[in-house]
Amino acid sequence: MPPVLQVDNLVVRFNTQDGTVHAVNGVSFEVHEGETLAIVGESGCGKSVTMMSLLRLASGRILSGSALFNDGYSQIDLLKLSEPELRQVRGGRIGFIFQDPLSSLNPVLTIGEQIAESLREHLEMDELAAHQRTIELLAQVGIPDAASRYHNYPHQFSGGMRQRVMIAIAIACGPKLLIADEPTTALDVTIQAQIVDLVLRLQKELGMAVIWITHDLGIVAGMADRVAVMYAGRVAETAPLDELYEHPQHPYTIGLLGALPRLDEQKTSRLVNIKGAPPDLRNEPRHCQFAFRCGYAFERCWAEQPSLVQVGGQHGAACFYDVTQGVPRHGV
Amino acid sequence: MSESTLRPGSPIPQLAPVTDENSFAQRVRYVLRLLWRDKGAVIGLLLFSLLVFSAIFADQLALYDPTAQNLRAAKQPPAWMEGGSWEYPLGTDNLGRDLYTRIIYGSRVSLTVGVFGTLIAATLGLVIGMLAGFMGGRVDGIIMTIVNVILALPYLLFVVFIAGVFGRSLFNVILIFGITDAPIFVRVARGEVLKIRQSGYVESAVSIGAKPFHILVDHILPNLIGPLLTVATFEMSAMIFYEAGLSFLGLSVPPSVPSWGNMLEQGRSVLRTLPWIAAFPGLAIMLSSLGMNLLGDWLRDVLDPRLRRARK
Repeated sequence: MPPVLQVDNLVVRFNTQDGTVHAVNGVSFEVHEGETLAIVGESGCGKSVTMMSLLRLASGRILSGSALFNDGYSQIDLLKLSEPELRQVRGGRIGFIFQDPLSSLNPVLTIGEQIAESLREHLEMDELAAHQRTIELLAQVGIPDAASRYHNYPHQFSGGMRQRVMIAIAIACGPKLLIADEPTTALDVTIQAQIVDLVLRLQKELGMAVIWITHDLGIVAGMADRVAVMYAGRVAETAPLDELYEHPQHPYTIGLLGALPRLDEQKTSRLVNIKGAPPDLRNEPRHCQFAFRCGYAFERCWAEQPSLVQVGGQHGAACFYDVTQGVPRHGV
Repeated sequence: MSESTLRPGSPIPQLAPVTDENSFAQRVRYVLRLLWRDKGAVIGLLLFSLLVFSAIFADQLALYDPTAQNLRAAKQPPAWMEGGSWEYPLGTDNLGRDLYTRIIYGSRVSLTVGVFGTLIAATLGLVIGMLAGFMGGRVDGIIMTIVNVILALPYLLFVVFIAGVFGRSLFNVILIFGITDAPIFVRVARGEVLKIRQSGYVESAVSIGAKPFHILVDHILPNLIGPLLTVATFEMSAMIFYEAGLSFLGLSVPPSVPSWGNMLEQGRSVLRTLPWIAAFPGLAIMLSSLGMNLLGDWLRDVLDPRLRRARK
């Protein structure tokens, strides 16, 4: 079975007044049917830009790379689609959920109309059919009293309910891939859990692959099958969930996991943090971008950029140092 | 965790009737309640209603024929002053025409110019502004250059020119106002479109593959109505004002048609001796403009999305 999405060496740049920003520098990953891939990283590491560039929702230039999408209908390279073809994919075959449900909903239209919009665009339903299908969708995402809520406006819903509406819009046409860009960041913790549960349930019901972008390692632990950690526009490490949490290989991942407050921690110990700050992406240096902040950096780290190498079963890390052995990696 | 009562494949329920929460009556009551809270708005609405009422029911409200002259009753002061009578409640002008009647009929001119001039300007401005804002680039550049040229035109010169070539008429005035005022609407519409294009829901609509035209008409346009309506009320007030100025100069309706500006002009030379001839039309102009401005202020406050949430 080919993966639902296979991204290979994606490079995206932004031309700004202050210079060219190298937002995405050779990102590769894949997602399989029914799988949940979590993409983790701090703000500015390029995770949102990567996803949005796949559907050309971001304004950056895509310099190179391919994004093979295979949902059982056909295999296409998302980056090579024309604008009309891309419009068919958006919403119709790939669903996208944004971070802030309040600003992502049109305040002057009812939520029912906004969900029906997708149905009428892609499935060419008439008004009545779209109306009925929308009510079904609202019920499916857990909005009670769906029939009358159809006519409500976004401001009449709470944050969690609005995000459910956004999810309904995204899955309306039964896409095989759902990309969720930090959908729970703007919600409080109990609602976060509900939304995560909802997405997992829908995933099973609809047989979707899910890419979940977040910077919250706690959420990742609760729902992902695989994780890709991004830093400075690159994939630093990628592994199955348990493998990543138990045997992180990249110093950045180790730092991230170490920075998590834990229930079994001693009260007097301080949170470990990663010294330094994320790099300025206007440069494309010849050395590892993490070297400044890395406790294990040695000469080679300053001489070339590490690329993703296999360090375990399905485990890849972009690092020249082998942290488990305590020596530079062999054969890299 | 969810409480869905439907599963895919289960029978589709009957569409439930719309609940009370958003019924038309409830919404009207909501707006009336908002209106009442702002006393200025109530006054504005009253004045505007007066204007509209006078214009529509002029024939019923008037006492005489507005052009009927009665030289024996000429130059009579208003009823409450010495020498006046309730036969001519606001007095008469130097040709014996009843001022009250002429003011009632004058409202027709002002309202017509205000409404249709604004309608033309707003429609033109909306379409052109949406195009400029949505398409950007060279189209935007060309449109804005033309708009700025029109804005720079001294409209008075323009009016004189048109009046000289095509003659004086209300139609010409409305047309000119429509064209010279359109740039204001173009700017407002374009600005709003530029802002709305960046908003989350437009991004969301793009992400579900909505076509650009559909986004423009179904997402952007409904959000333009609010700001446009607010600007429209202010422009209507201005047009009432400008029309009066034009008829004062004799560039609007012919002198046989009663208009507040005409009346002002006639009263100007006798301002010291027969002040009422100019005072009452002047008051009418002022109150009409004021009414529209008050309404516009209220609209702007009410349609401000930040205040939208406060229900009680």
